[in-house]
Amino acid sequence: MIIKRTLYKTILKNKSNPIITLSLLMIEIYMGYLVWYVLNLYLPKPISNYRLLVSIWVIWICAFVAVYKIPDQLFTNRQIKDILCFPVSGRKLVLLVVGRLACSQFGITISAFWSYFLYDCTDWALTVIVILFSLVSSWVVDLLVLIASTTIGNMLSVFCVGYGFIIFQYGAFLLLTLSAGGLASRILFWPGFLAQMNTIFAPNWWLLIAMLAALLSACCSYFCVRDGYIRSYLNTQNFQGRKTNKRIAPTKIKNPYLLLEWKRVLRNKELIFFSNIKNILTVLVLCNLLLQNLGWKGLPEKYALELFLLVSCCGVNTISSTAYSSDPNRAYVSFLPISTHRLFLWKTLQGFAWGEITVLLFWLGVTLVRAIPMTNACMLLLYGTAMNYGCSWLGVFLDYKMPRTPTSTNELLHGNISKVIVLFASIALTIWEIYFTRQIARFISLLSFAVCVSVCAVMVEFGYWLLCRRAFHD
Amino acid sequence: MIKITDLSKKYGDKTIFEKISFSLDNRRIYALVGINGIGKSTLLNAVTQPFSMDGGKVEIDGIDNQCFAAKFHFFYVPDSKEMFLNLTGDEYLKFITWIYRQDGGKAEEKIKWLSSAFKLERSLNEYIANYSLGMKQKVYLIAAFLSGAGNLILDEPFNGLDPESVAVLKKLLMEYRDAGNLVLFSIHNLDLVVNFCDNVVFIDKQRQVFQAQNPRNFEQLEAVFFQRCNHADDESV
Repeated sequence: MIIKRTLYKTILKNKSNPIITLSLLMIEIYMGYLVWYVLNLYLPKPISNYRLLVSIWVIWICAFVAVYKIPDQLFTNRQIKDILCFPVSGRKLVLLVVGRLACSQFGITISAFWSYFLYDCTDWALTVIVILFSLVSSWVVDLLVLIASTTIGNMLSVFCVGYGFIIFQYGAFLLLTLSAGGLASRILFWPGFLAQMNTIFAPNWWLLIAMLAALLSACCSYFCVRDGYIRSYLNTQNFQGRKTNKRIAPTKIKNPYLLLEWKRVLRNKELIFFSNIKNILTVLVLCNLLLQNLGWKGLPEKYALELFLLVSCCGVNTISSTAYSSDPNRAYVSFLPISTHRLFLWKTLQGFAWGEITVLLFWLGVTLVRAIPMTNACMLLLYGTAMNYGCSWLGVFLDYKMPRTPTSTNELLHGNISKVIVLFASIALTIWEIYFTRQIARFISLLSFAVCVSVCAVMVEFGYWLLCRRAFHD
Repeated sequence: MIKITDLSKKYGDKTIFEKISFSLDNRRIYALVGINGIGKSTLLNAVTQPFSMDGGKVEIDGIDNQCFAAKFHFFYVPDSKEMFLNLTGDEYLKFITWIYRQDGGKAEEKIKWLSSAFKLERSLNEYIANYSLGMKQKVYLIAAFLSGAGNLILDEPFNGLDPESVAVLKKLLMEYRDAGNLVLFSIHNLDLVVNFCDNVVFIDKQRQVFQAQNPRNFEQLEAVFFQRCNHADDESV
C-alpha cells in the first residue's frame, strides 16, 4: 500500500492535502444534492425519469476526466521515464493510474446519485442498476481511452505522435462538449424528449451490454498494455525530447520586457494552441447554444447578443489569466533589475495583442453575418478592443495576486480561477449595462453606453497601474 | 562591497541564521564553504532577494538591497540551471545587457569574446533548453561578466564545467577582482578554494559565519573545516 502511494506520488508529483480532498468531496456531495433538488423542484415529475439524464451526465464527466488524465498521466508524463529505471513494470503503472481514476469515478457516481434516495425510495433496485450502469460505462470509457492512447503511441511515428495526442484529446473534448450542449438543449427545449429516451432505455439490458463491453475492453486493454504500453510511452517521450537543433535567427526585438513576454507565449505551444483553440471553441459553442435556444431577436436590446459574444471572447483570454503562473522565469525576476511594474504592463499588452486576434475574428464574423452598419460596427470594434484590454488587465492582475507556489502542479486549476473570475465580471458588467439602459436610462442606446463604460474601465485600470506602483512591488 | 547586518532567516520554526553580521570588501574573491544543507544557498538568496530575509539589513555598494537600484550592483547565478530556457543563448545575453543598461556595441564585442573563450559561440543561436548542464552554466557565467555589476554572487559556479572552462573561469574571475570588483561563490571543493580564492567564508555547525584569510595550504584549511564546520548538531536545511 505504501509502495503504491509512493509510486503514485512520484509519477504524478502529487502532494495530496487531506483538507483539499475533503473539501472537493464535500463539493461533490453538495453538487449531487443540488442536481436532484433542482430536478425535483423545477422540472416535471416523476423524478425517476431523470435517472437516465444524471447517468449520462456522470458518464460525460467521467469521460472528460479520462480523456484529460490518461494521456497526460500515462503517456506524456516525464516522471515515468525515471521510474522505469527501477524494476517496476509498465502494467503496474497503468493499473495504478487507471485504478485511481476508477476510484475517483466511483466517487463522482455516488455523489451524483446519493440524494436521489431522499426523494424516491420506491424502486431502489432499479436505481442501483442505473448507478452500476453509469459506473461500468465510465470504466469502459477509461479502457477505450487507454486502448486508443496506446494505439496512437504505437501507430504514429515519432515525428507526429505528439500531434496525434493533441488531436485525440481536443477532438474528444470537442465531441463531448458538443454532445453535452446538444443533449442539454434537447432536454430543456424539446418536450417529451426525455420520456422518449426513457422508453428506449431498459436498465437491465443496458447494464448487461455495458458489462460485456467492459469485459471485452478489459481483455483488449490487457493485451494492448502488455505488448505495447512501454513502446508507446517511449515513442511519445521521444517526440517530446526531440531537439530542434536548427539555428534560430537572431531576434529583432530590442525591448527586454517584450522579448521575455513574446518568448513566454511563443515557446509555450500549449498556451497558443490548446488555449486559443479551446477559447474559440468555447465561444463558438456558447454562440451556437444562444442561437439555437434564444435566437438573435430573443434578447431585449439591439446588439445585446453581439456584446455578449465579444465580451465572452475577451473574458476567456488564457494568455493574460496565466501571465504569471505560466511564466517559467518568474522565480528569477526577483534578483535581476527587472521592473515588476513595467513587466505587468508588457504582460497585459501581450495578452491584449493575442486576445485581439479572437476579437477581430468574431467581430468580422458578426459584422458580415448581421450586416451591421459601419458606425455601429466601428463602435462594436471599439467596445471589443476596450473590453479586451480591460479583461487582459484584470486577468494579469488576478494571476499576479493569486497565491501560488513554485512547485504547483495543479494543471486543472492552472489560471482557470482567474479566467472564470474575469469571465464572470465581464458578463456581469454587460448584464448591468443592459439593465441600466433598459430600466434606468432608457434614452441611452445600449451600444454607446457599453462603449463608454468599457473605455472608462480601461482608464480606471490604466490609472491604477500608473498611480499605484506599490501594488506591483517595484 | 557587501555589508550584512543582523541577518536572520527561519524556515517555519527552524532558525537558519540568527542575527549574523559580516562584510565583504572589493578586490577580493571569497569562497563560501559549509557542509551540505547548512544554508549556503539560503545565505546567497537572502543577500540577493530581500523578501527572503526575515530580518536584518544587507547593503550592496552602500545601497540597501531593498532598493531597486541595488539590483544593478550585483549579478547572481543561482544553483538552478532552469533559467530562461525559452530564450536562445544569444537572446539571453542580449536581454542581460539591456536590463543591466550596458553599452550595446561593447556588449556585442564582449559576447563574441566571452563565448569564444568558453567555446560556446556555435551554440548561441540554440535554445538554452537544449544546452547540456555545462553549457547552461557557461551561458549564465558569461551573462555575469556582461552585466557590469560590481559584485558577482555565484552558487557553485564550477559545477558541470570541463577542466578547460574551469581554468578560463578562474582567470576571468581573477581579472574581474583585479578590476576592483568582488566575487563571492559557494563551493565544496577545498582544493579549488586553496588554489584560487583570497578569503574563505565558513558557515560553522552553529550556523555562525566567520571569515579567514586563505592559508594556501590544503591540510590547514581542511583542519579548520573539519574542526568547526563538520557535523552539524541539528538537521540539515
